[in-house]
Amino acid sequence: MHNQTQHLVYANPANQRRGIALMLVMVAILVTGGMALAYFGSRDNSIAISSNIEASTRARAVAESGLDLAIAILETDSDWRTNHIEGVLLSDFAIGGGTITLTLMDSDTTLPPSESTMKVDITVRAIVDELIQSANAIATITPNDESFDVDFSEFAIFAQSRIEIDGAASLLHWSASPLSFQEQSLLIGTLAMNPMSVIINSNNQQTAMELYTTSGASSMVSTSSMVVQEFSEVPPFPDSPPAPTSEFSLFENEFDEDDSDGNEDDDGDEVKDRDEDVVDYNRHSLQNLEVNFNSNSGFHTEQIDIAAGTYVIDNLSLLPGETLAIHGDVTISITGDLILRHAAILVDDDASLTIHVGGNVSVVTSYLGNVNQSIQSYMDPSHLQLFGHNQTQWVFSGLTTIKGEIYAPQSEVEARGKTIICGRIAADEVTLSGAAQLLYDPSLDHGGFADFESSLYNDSGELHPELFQLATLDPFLINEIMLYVSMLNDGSENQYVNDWLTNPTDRIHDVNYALLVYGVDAREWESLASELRWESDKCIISAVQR
Amino acid sequence: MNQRGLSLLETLLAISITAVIGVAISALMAAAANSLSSRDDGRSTAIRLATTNIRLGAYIAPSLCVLDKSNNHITLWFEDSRTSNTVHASEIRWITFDSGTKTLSVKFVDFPASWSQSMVDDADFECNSLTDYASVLSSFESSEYITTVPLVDSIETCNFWINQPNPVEATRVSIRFSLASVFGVTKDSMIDESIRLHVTPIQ
Repeated sequence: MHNQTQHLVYANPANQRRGIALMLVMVAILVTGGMALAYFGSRDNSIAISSNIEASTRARAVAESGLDLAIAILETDSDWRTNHIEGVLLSDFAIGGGTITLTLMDSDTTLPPSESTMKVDITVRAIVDELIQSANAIATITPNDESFDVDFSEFAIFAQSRIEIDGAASLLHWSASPLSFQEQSLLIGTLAMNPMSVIINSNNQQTAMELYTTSGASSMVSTSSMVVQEFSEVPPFPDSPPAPTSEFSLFENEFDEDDSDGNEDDDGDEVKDRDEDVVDYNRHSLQNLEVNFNSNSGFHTEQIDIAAGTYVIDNLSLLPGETLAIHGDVTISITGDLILRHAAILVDDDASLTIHVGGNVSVVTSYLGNVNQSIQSYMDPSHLQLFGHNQTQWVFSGLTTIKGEIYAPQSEVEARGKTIICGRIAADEVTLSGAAQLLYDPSLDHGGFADFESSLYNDSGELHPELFQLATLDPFLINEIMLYVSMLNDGSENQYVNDWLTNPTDRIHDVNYALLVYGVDAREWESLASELRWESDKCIISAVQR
Repeated sequence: MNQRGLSLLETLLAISITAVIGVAISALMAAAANSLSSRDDGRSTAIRLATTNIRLGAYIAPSLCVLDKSNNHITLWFEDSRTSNTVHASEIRWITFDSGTKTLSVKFVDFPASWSQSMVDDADFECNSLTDYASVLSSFESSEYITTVPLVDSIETCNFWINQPNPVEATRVSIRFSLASVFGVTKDSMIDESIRLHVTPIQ
């Protein structure tokens, strides 16, 4: 019986499938659950989002590094002006875990840089994990041409024996200068050693100043509180460059004409010919200038146009309403006095004027500078230079404005009234009184004696002995000394080249830049928002009108 | 004995097991859904945080200096477009937090496109050390020459800090803020950005 029952149980297929359905249901549930979890899990993109955010942040950092790299390249003497493809200096350059494309464009021409490019728009496009961020900047390159700057143009005021600023007079940075954003102290300097040689009594003087004196100067050389620096040696204060003489005028203007004669004169004859031309040229100059400038002659004119060239005259006097318009590079040598009364000397944008004055200077309510007479309109002061040659008096008064450099080592220069001088003054004595203002242009600063690291000083911090031969700002002598010192420097540079693995590339040029875009361009958003706003306003107005 | 079908015990057992598994799966799904919502909210917050960082950085980093600052706004000298080294109204950006709309936005002077350059020059006045920049904003707002660009919305709280007592001397700006989300207000986040090339205006 037992065997029979057992046989029946085993023989029934239904009995064999018992529990299988339950197992199948459970397996199905588990599989479905697993698939659901896998599906939901696949929807989780947190990691991808985090990666994007991280890559975006890195891309911005890489773009900023690219900008630093661009500035570093501009500071070196590399051939970035020519070694580019349509302005692209670096393409897919690997840096900081990403790549950058560095593009430079000339700001003035909006074309790729050329040999003359001094201002560039820098665009850095950084890519990290396919995410793009940008950095844009505009940079101005001030080349270091290793020329000597021995005319104390790094000083707003440099005086041989005395500086005085009193009343409501002041010394400021010229806000229109492209380099005025540099937060530097204004430099003043003197070779005086006596106490109270520098007197600052003006309540209006708020800009910080730095005084340079000689090492032997009295500790009371100035009682005003300001930073005082000492020259290691007394620097030479050379006289003004030689005024053009008759011979100089001849060779500058008439020599080509002589050669065209084709005469094969001997040396003596050639000199004689030149001397004859001197007379002719001077007569020509004197005629032009005397007739036009002498209002008593009856030939009175409102504006006198002066073309490029060199002019030698006895005195220059401009009376009310008279204007001297300078076109081209003009040099005027005045052996006597320069007198301006309610007059103007206007210098074209592409022109320059150098005036040598042997006598006194008196300027009352007059203007010397570019055509736009506002002090907010910038003009490179080195395009208008006034040189004094003897122990004379220079007085600027009334509502006078001058955009230029004054260099008169033997003269006493005084600015009073509401005189504004945009540039700098180097003289024997400098006095600012009344409400006079001297607005210094930092772009005149090319180092010079105030820069103890400049090539004027040797390795031991002393001035090169050759500099003491400079009695005047003689371009020929300066050039000779520059060549000599350059040779000395080249010797030391070669040593650096041999050691290039351990020494970074020299960054010899100054680059000033302003960051315009960091990451994304905010100006673009604003432009779109502005467009949208004014367009919608226009639509509303037209709808109302309809 | 009829062996077909399930016994009561088997049925009860199957039902109870199914019920237990069903409850477990529902709980699992609810937890998964909640977790997903939470993660979604977290991701959204992270994205908004990154966006805030980028947008504020785009204004603060290139700015020249901070002109004014309070707890809920900061005034920046964004550019010197007139290259005067002085602040003109059109060069100012007011980054303000409006607690009413819970929006962080930037405001700037925007003269009508139909204006001539001389009209713009006249209206775009120069500021000095005595200028009250909040009044400047109010004045231009009343004249409707202010355009607003929202930077980030759904901000619950927002505070500005700078690293100098005198705003003009500050080189670093910190923004502490919290965001509103589905799960409530987030913890405070901090964005710290520096002014890359600090320039003070001639005043």
